[in-house]
Amino acid sequence: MFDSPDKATPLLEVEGLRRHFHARSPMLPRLVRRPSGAVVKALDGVSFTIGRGETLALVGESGSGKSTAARCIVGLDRPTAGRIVFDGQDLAVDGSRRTAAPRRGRMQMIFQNPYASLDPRWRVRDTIAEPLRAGGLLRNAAQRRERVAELLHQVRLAPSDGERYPHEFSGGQRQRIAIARAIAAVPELIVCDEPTSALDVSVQAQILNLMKDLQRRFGLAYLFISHDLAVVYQVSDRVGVVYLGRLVELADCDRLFAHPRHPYTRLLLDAVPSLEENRARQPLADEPPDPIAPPPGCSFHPRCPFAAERCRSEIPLMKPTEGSLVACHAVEEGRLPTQPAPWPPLAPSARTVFSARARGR
Amino acid sequence: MAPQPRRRLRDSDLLWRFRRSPVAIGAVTLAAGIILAALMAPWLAPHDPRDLASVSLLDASDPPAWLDGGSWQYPLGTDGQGRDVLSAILFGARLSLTVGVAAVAIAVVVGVGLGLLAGWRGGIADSAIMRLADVQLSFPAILIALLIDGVARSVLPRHAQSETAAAVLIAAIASSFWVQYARTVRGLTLVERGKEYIQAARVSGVRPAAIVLGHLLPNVMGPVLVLATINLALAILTEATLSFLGVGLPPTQPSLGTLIRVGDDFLLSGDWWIAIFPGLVLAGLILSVNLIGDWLRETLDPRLRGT
Amino acid sequence: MMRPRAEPLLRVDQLRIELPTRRGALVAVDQVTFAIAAGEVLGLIGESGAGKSLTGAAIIGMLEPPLRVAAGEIRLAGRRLDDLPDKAMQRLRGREIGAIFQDPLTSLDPLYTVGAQLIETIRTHLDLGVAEARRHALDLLREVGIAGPEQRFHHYPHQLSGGMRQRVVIALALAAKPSCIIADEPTTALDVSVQGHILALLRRLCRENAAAVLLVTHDLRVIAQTADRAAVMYAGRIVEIGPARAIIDAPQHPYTAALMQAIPRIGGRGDRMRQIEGTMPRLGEVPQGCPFHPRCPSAFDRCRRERPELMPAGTSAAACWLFAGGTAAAGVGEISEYDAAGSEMVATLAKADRV
Repeated sequence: MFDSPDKATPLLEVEGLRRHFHARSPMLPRLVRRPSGAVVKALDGVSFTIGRGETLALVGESGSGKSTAARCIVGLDRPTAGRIVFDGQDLAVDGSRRTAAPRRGRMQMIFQNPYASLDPRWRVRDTIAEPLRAGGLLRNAAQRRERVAELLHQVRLAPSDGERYPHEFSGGQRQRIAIARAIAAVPELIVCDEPTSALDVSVQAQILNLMKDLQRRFGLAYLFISHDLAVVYQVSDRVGVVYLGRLVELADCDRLFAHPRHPYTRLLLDAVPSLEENRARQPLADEPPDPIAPPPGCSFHPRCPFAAERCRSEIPLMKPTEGSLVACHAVEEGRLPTQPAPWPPLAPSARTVFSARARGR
Repeated sequence: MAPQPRRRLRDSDLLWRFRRSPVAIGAVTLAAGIILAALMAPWLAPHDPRDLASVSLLDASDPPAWLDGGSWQYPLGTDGQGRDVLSAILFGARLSLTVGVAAVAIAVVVGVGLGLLAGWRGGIADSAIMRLADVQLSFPAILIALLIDGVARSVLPRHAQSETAAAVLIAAIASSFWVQYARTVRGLTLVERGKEYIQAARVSGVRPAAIVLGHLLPNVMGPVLVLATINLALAILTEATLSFLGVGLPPTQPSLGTLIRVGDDFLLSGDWWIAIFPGLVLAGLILSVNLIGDWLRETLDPRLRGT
Repeated sequence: MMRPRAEPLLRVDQLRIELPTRRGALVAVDQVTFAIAAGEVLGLIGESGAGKSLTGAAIIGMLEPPLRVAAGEIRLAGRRLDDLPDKAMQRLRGREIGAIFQDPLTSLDPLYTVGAQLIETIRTHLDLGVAEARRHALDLLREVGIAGPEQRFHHYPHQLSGGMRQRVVIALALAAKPSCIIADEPTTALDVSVQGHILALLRRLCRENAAAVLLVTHDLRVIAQTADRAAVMYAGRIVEIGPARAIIDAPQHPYTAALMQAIPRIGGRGDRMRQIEGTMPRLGEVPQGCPFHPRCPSAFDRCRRERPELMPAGTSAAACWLFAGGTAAAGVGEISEYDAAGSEMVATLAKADRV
């Protein structure tokens, strides 16, 4: 359970990842006064693994730290503490140039905002070829051109699109270009930070299908960051729920959605907007706490209907419970009532459904 | 709602707006005219004002051709020494433009370079550069130019002074202009640095220098170009002011400013053409360049801001 | 949902918004017609570029030039809005029409406290003294569910969470008790756990104040929770309009149906998600005939030639030749089987002879 189902070495192992931000006052006042001690614990000890070819989703709301985790793993940010082991190789915390090398080319990232992830002054073909040039792969310009054409084809864009500029493309198409860039150097792990959140629903489905196809073809592993549980359900193998910098639950996708254990997971599932009529909502306070001053003990206890004395003082650890990993005292002590699955299977009486292939396209 | 796609600056849209703006067309025509004439000075000018042999005191203080006492040999008259005013203006404009363009060019290179460095590295480099800029800004440009000029005069031997006068002047003007480029570029760099395409480049392992030059530089140049155009007018004016005050170019290399200074003495005695014509040309040049800069900024600004 | 029997408070008739360019005028929104009664929420659904935000902006009178209303009428309680001069529109805004935008961070002035902004809005539109305005402001804060309004009154926007800021924005929009509210993606920037509360709040206030609410969104799930009726926009036109539940449970127009299918759901995971091929046409690239026909699995000859008007389709109205009545045998599409782990759905295409 802690390890991925693939018994061989997991592709990525993250252990006790921490990222603390110190709220710093500007330099001159700092020299005069002592620095303020405010620390934002964006990540406070997160551990998980990802196997080859599998998709692990990290779900949480804003401020949960999921994006911070993604950035630390891919090298954009330096963790304060913890281990990141990629294919058996420890990516040192100090982030020196030497240790950045194993990441290059084998780990890539897709970002949320398709309108800012491409340089507006670069032609598409140059953007896609950037990882190739940076990694010293395919030094021959003709080879690179061929590769770019191949990549454009794989993301279902026309070869002539390479000559154009980003502003000529829609959001979904730009995301395809970003995907082409990400797979250019044949990575093994792609970190996807909300790749479809900024896209329309119909385009979202296209992009997610494309990502699934590419995963099957090239054996890619995905770390899929999202706040949208429905999307996560459709694409992940395993899901980790993050709250205020800590993992609270980690389980197989089907198991998590059918039997959510942690109270926060239940709250999240309950809050997912559904197409059903209004369901009764739990009258919980909707105030996410201040990340600068998180509550002591279990950070969820102020909003938790099952909070006990122990929850206010002791941070719960991830413990295996019937196939999932859950960090909750109430679950450990068996205090939580078993809930029926919140999502009934779709009623078979849905009326108008069309085949998704438009004719002649 | 999806944001409007960002247009490239070289869109024909820009040309279309240009063709519709009489101000832009007029300004460019005037500026181009003066600049071309100045560049062609050695071939256009009827006389060479630098050649002392061709100057004759007998022709001194002749009025312009269409007035009594003037001749078409000296279309705009002559000054107190017999130099042809028209030729002096052409060569003077050339000099003024050279100094102005060189000063702005250096300021741009230094300012953009430091701005990129400050914005990209942050930390101590950023603080140091910005404090230097703050100090620089607290002195008016003319004062700085005077200071540098004064230092140069005391340091350099007399005979070297006239040769290096132009270089010193250019350095002086550039040293007060670089700050605004540095600040603008630093701000833009800070904004662009957070954008995902830069992060994607970092993830792909592109070296920082390559990111700064390949990605950041092209994306921050837009406002810089607008600033540079407006600055050009100011640089020319600064040079003219300094020359007028006597601390710019020496009389042997008369710029428009020097000509105005020289002519100033003759204004009261009635030989108005010696000061007025150079003054008109100077004003025309500065006005047209300013108008072009303003028009550029107006046209490009909303697109630059809206992505 | 029972439609309130009241006279429609907001009427939009054949609205047409154009963007003049040097190549001629591009049509951004065309023939948009709908009405909202007091106490009713109409959801305006569309993807980016469909024209829904422009429609909302046109009603408030905040279309950015050079965009302009080229044809059609907008009436609020019988009074025409689209041809009002700026000053008159300014007086209306806030007083009769309230607006809630997407990003609460930029909707509030970061330099003023929440209380100050509320009082300013209240006193601009209502003739109240400072003390009375303050009381009204506190009432508003309570009404939108902000705990401890007396303290929050003196807070700056950055001291509030996203959800609270949006509540303040709603309070501002309601300050002068407008009869019409335009809400443009009010919950898109908020966390999931907060969205539900905000939408419920909106619905409650709509009923209590008998306001006509236009809820612009791309998320059908938001519509399901909040709207009484819904209109689906595609390429600047309304392609389907009807009761919200009907649109969601039994979408008639092929685009609506495809959109419903593309929404990711929990339960019934298959190998691939249902997707619609292609993209919505951009301004100036709208095809002849029905704008959706290049992507429509049931397109036939008439669709390529003539643009359909809205026609009755079940309990809704859809702009689709499939509902033209009489024979349209060529419009029958495929029958598809959708097999998902754990649940089976056999779907049938709506027949063309339904009226």
